[in-house]
Amino acid sequence: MNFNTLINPVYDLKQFKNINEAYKKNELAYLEQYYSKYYFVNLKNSMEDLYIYQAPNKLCVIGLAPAHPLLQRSQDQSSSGHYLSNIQSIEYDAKVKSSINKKRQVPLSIDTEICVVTTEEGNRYSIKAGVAGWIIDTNTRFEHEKELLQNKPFKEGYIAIIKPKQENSDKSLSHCFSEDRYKLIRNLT
Amino acid sequence: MLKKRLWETDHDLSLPTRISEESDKWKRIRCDEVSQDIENSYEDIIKQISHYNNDETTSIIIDTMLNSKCCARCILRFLNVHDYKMYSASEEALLKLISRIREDVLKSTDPKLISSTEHSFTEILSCKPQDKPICITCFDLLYQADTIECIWPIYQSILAHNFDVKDFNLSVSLPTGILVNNHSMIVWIRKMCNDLKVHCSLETLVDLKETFKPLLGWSIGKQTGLVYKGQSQFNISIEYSHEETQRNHMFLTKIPSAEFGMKKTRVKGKHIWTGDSRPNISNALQKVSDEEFLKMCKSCPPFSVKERWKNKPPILEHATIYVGGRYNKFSRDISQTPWIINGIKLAPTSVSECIGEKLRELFRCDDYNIVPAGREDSNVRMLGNGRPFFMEIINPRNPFPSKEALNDVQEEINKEYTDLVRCQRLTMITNKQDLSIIKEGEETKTKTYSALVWISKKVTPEVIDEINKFHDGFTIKQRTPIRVLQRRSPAVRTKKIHYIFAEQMEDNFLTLRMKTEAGTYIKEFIHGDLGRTVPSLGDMIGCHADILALDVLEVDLEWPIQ
Repeated sequence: MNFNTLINPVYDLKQFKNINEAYKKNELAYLEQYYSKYYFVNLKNSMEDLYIYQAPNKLCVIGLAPAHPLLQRSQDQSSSGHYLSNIQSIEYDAKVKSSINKKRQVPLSIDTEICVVTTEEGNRYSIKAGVAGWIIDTNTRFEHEKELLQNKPFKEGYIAIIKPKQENSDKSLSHCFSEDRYKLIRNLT
Repeated sequence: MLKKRLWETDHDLSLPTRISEESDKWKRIRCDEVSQDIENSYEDIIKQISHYNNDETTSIIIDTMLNSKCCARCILRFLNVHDYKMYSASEEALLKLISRIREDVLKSTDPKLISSTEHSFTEILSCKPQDKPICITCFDLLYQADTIECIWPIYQSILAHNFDVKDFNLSVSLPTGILVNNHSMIVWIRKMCNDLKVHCSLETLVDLKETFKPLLGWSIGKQTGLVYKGQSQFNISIEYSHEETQRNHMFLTKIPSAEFGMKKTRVKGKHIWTGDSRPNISNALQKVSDEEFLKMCKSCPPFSVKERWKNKPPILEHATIYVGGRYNKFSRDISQTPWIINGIKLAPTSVSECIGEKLRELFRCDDYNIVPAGREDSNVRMLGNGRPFFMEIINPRNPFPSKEALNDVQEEINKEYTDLVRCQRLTMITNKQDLSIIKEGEETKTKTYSALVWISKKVTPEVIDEINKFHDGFTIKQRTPIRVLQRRSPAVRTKKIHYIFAEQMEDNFLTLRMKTEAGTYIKEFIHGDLGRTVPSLGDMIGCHADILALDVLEVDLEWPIQ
């Protein structure tokens, strides 16, 4: 390397042609650089599914999957537009929240309720952990920006970060589906 | 943890610890400064001795020890002769000296005594070394301290390891039987004095180790040309054992006042007794009264022994030394330090290995350890004038290479790894305090970066202006990035961006140049880390952003100090 390139590095954009095309097709495609995507399908009632993005360090980011009722726009009778149900509150389970950063934590199972979302219409949605492990962090931005949950559900609107009990993803996330399978199950395009 | 490495096969080298030639083994390598004519210092010695004991006690000490066939050097120890150079004299000379002392003190205590007779064992003790009874208070270790037999294992080790040093220090570990036997001899002498109603405390005497170390050290010095010093970067440690007496301290467990408890523990399925370390035994002996000792210890006075001392292989170690410098990393495929997870190597090599392995050959060291001022991810290049670091060189055989040799290694590294690593300004760090500068650099110094960024809209001059209006700096709040959250505790950290400068490239690409406070996570500032870094570059221009390439251009720290 000569002196000039040491302080003024040159980037060859040809190298990034494929990335550019992929990103342009889907502006959230870059997330795949940082996470493997899994989906936790709620088979019991309705479509209350979760996404689980797993980082290379095995930590899992949990949030609402595309089919979740809170992300569905329904036809408003009185006006011409589509609307999302209005969120009244997002409340984390006090016990779960207080155990963040503690040495001795209560372990979460797949079905442990970590958060409850209520809408102005009076609907109550229970958000499960989705993966067995320990809570690492919640999303404190919900305190002032509840709308993130619906406006940016796959980025700023994530719900929690969980450290799986099992190192091996094949085991810790064996109950989850890949993105393709998930789309097939929920008839998404 | 990686296994501790050793240079060559090294510490396990099996060496001839005994010499085959029986006649050579008793040859003494004496330090030059000893005057063989110790008779001249006679007045001095008498003065030293009488400071500690009166004449009656002195005569009892000498007679009791001669009766037990102790060596002359041990008798001098018990008489508190602190001038270690004296001990270098020959056994005959020392025995003659002791006889003279004995005669003089006997005369002074009993004026009627005109011509005293020599102690009957003096003759036995001054016979040929191989026929001499083994000393029960040093197992002949002190007696042989300056003989070829004692020097040989260490001398051979120094030759085999080929340490290029000027001086050395000794660490010696003596057989536990020596502790018990020395105490036993003290108690026995005190009993003899008591029986004769003579005052005797024997609270101070010259510890065996104190005299043994200089005697051995001077002789090794003469044999090797190195200088024996109380303090040196180069340490030789050697452990001696004596099988016959190694369990002699067991009687202490039966004396409650000794507070000597041994514990049975399991190590790898084997039962092992612990608690009989040398300090523990020594402490316990101090707590036992003479009466109890005489009652419980079967060997008081100590039994004669059939075997001499044995040694374990010596361990030669030079203190860690430090080499400072700066490195560049030109590749996005190698890491800073070996990147191994669950035994799988995730990067082919590392900066640490490229530089360290060459230094290892130069210093002939066991191992090395890189300590850099901060770190970059493996896919980040380190450009500009490089990142400051120092290398810990562990147990070097060649601790003082010339400046030219160090430069040659630097050139060799740069030639062999042209496309991966460049190393500059390799320098020996002589002032250990300078090392803290590196840590300080990691925590407090600003860093300059260059980044290639993709944004989710076409880059226009307006977009560039939008970024560059923050040219003069701003602050961001970073929650611990998800990517490091498994090891770093969650917190919000405020970081200053000192300047930012964007340049338009084609399509959706732009480049950023920025200078930031130490500890800023650049990648997270660009893509926002799911909203955990606020504001992110995307927030500033109202779209999504991702970082495609990152380079460190400068770590603002002067290093190495000239």
